[in-house]
Amino acid sequence: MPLSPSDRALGDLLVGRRIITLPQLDEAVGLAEQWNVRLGDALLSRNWIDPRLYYETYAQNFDLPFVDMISEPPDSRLLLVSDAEVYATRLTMPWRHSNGRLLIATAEPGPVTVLFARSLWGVDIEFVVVSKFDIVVAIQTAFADALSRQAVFELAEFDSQMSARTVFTTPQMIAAYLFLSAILAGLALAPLDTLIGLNVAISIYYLGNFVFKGVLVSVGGRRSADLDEIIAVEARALHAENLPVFTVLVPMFREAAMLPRLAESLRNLDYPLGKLDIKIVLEAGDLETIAAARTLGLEGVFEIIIVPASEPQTKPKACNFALRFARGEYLVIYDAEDRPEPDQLRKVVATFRRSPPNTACLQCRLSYYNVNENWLTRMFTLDYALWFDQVLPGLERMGMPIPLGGTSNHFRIDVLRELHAWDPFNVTEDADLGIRIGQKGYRVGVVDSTTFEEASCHSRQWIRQRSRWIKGYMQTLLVHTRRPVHFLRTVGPLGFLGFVFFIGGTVLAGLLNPIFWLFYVIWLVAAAASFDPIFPEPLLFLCLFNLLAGNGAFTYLIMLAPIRRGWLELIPFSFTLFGYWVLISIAAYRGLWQLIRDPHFWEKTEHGISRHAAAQLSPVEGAT
Amino acid sequence: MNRALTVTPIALFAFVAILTLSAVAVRNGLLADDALRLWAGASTAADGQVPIGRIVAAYPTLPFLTTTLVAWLAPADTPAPALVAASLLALIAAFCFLSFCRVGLPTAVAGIATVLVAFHPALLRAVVAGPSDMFLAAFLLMLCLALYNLRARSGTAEVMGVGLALMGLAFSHPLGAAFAFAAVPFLAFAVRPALVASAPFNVVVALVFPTFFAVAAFSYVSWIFPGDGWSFFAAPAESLSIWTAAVERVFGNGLSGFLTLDSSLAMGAALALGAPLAVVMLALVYRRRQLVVPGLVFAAIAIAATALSVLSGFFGDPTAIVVAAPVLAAAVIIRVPVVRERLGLTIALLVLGWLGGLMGLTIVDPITLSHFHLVAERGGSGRLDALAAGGAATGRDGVLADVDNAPAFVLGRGRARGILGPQSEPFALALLFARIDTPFVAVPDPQSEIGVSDRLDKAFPSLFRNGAPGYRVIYQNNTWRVFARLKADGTF
Repeated sequence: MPLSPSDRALGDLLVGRRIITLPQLDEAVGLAEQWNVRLGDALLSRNWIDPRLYYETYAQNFDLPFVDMISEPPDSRLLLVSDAEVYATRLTMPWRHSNGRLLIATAEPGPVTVLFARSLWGVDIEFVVVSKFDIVVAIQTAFADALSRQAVFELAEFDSQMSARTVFTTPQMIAAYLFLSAILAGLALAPLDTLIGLNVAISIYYLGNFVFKGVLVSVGGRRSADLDEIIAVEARALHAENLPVFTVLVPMFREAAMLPRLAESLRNLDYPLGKLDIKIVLEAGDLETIAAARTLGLEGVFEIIIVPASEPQTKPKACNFALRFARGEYLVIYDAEDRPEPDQLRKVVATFRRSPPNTACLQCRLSYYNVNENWLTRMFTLDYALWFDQVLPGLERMGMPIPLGGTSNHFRIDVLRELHAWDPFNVTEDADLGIRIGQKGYRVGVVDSTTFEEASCHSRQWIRQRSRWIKGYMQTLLVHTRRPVHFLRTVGPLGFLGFVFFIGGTVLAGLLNPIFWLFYVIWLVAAAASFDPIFPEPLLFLCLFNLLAGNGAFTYLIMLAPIRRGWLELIPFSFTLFGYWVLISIAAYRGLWQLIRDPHFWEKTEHGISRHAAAQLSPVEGAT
Repeated sequence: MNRALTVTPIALFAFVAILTLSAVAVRNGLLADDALRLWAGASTAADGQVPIGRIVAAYPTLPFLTTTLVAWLAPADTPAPALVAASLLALIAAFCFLSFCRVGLPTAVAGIATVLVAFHPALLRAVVAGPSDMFLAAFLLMLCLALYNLRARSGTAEVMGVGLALMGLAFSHPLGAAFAFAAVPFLAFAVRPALVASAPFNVVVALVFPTFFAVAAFSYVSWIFPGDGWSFFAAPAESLSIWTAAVERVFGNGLSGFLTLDSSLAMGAALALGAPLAVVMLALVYRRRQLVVPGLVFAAIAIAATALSVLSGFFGDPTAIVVAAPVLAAAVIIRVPVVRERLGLTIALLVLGWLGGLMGLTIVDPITLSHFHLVAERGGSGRLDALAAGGAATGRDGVLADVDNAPAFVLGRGRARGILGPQSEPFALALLFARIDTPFVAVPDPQSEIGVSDRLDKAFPSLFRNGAPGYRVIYQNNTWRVFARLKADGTF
């Protein structure tokens, strides 16, 4: 699309003042026309110009005064917290009164802004130009407490049944009490029958669990490769000018060293930089990362959002806070160590355009780049391959709610806001949000594009991370079973079953496995006849079947998981699955303990500690 | 909807025709030994006469459990194995018809092709042989199609398809197990070259893992319940010796005098005769390796399984593998596009294959051949006598009989309930204390073929001739006598 006359004049002015060179202007004009963005977006995305200088020249081009809002902050009496999101998305806000007229500060002067401002503040207004970074900082400063409070409590206040702020609701406590009482009464009055009954229930549950996962993998494996190929072709064919603005949230905490690598990964995305709205979301107390981000000299498409200190200090809270400043049509979350495949955003846009209108989110596949570091990273990779490459496509094809994975979830931003975004009290807020999306009548899709992450390579750290996940699954299970009938009605019987086996199955299997392993070992080693009464022959057969078929089936599913990526060298490691299950069980009990003691505590996973990441970080650090 | 309307008559026709054929075969004592044993075992299990441990450890598992379930659900005198076999054939016919239509064959051609495949002599033989052979046929079809899928894509679902088909084969028929084991060295060829190049051994591991794990698990269960992990291999060893004897009776020393080689060559010839369509169509597309290799791999596995079964003696006689011929023909119609361009040739080759199938059977199935001769010559057999004796015991409770040795007795009686067989306590006590105290007892003539191995005849050598004290004969035929215990008033 041809450049606007004002942008052409701005370009001439910038060259005339020798702020940029003529070749730079030509390239920027080319980019702006190709991407269908303002000249400024193209220039700032190339880092050829100091943003302040750019906005000063921009003001001069429109013959408007330039204001440094850091040294001259806006009059707080003019600002409304309810309009904060409008200020952030329009990059326009009231600044001060002067001579009886309201001065409007804007980073995007022009006819559209004039019309918008008049509709909101009347005709008695004048404009000053500010840097967009100053507007973002001004909003953060003016509304720090209010936005922080919203980030924490919005979901709990608007949709309290969906928030994990209360761990156990009163009806849940009563139900648990009645259930335990019934079991105790049964044990007192008819101990053998009660134990057999429990045994039958657990055995049937085990059977359902592995049959369900087998069906999911089978269905997921039949996902049409042709469709993925079509999406890939369509993604490549998308014209840059038709691509929407994409917000990228990168919440970070004490990860200063990861910043250069992160910026590099985002620059590598095959998406017009001028249409990226990248927010590096940092905690106010994390001074080291804030300083590193400010001194790194990132392009103008990177913005730093400082999240005020408040409890709970969780990733979802940080994301909720940053969401107020998002300007994209779509939004994605990446972790600091993520390396998305370059065409990911294009594929997401292409998939959204082909998907039903109720598609709220697309989940990309996750995998690890440090696969071969040690046994744990190999097993973790197999686990992820099963989860993201087989199971999630299966859930998608069967129309079941999909618990989202940690990163690379791409949202339609309007739906995300409508759903009150993430639950900051849930430590697997992504899984919870995926289920909530399903409950609210929207769907989650899966995209055939991978983001590579760093796998935890130390068992202690892995257990910490997994125990947080399992604790979060427990929270999610508790939240969504508060109104079981409502849940059943909204997601359907299949969705309900999927939720019970998928979320509940992951939790319960981790907790129950050690008990049954112990039973089996005692039965095998001591040939204990004392177990015989609670294992009548048909039940013994069912338990044996579960033991053999369950172990066999899960080993086989894990064995199949790496085939899609051609990582056949991982296949033999599937025979060591039992060791991995032991770790999962340890994490499950740790998660349960934490759920009781400290349900909202977010246990941070350290990144950049693998040999692979260290090797990658060194040259980048050296270069900066 | 239209397709469903078309396929239903085809499936129904196949079902009724096969059921009738089976009924005739049963009435004339033409049922295979394995089918007879399976039928009797399933009937006994369905009547609750077998502990659950023995049921779950029974082999071949899939046909046994299915037949037991059908026998349990169906009325007493329902021929459960025939019902299962006919249902499977009807399913195969319906699947073939739908698949033929889906790949673009005109409905009439698809119908003719379906009839020629589903009523191929090898498949008819499998139906008469019973559910095991039909399960074998069904899983062979699944495997053959899965091999084509594997060569085309080699994704997770395709690997899973081959793995599960091999596992299904192993639990359908002893020769299915032979097929699964014989497949191991050939599977690497069935995978896409790009995938297999990096780690061929690991790919094969993923393909055969379900089979090997399930066999190990089944052995473990067999060890826990009946107490011997490998007991299920006993019967096949017997059937191989019978087959070998029949081969020698019909063909003498054969071509090379080396049975393994001769039987493999015979199976290869039977496949070529039974499926000339596969030979011609694969030759026409010989440059397109992804269409040729799966068919060749399948045929190679069939021949290797024949050799393995004869050489090892573990898997019984290799006759049942001949059903691979119509299976291969069906898979070629579904997967090789050139078939759709030469419909006349396709039908002609299928007709030729039908005739060739008859010839193939005479080569590889000397048992049935000699059995036909026997039935024709004698007009009856010990099996018919056992069926009649069982019929005479209908409605009588507490019949002591070695039904493991004479499964036809159970079938003749209709139900196993009321029979005191070798698994029962009275049978064990009778043998232990050399004293019979049951309301009825049935024994074959110890001089007859079946009487030689009857445990009651062995324990009571004069029982058939003299009866037991206080018993009198209430029924007898050429082979069997049924005695009843007399009450004090002289009645029984």
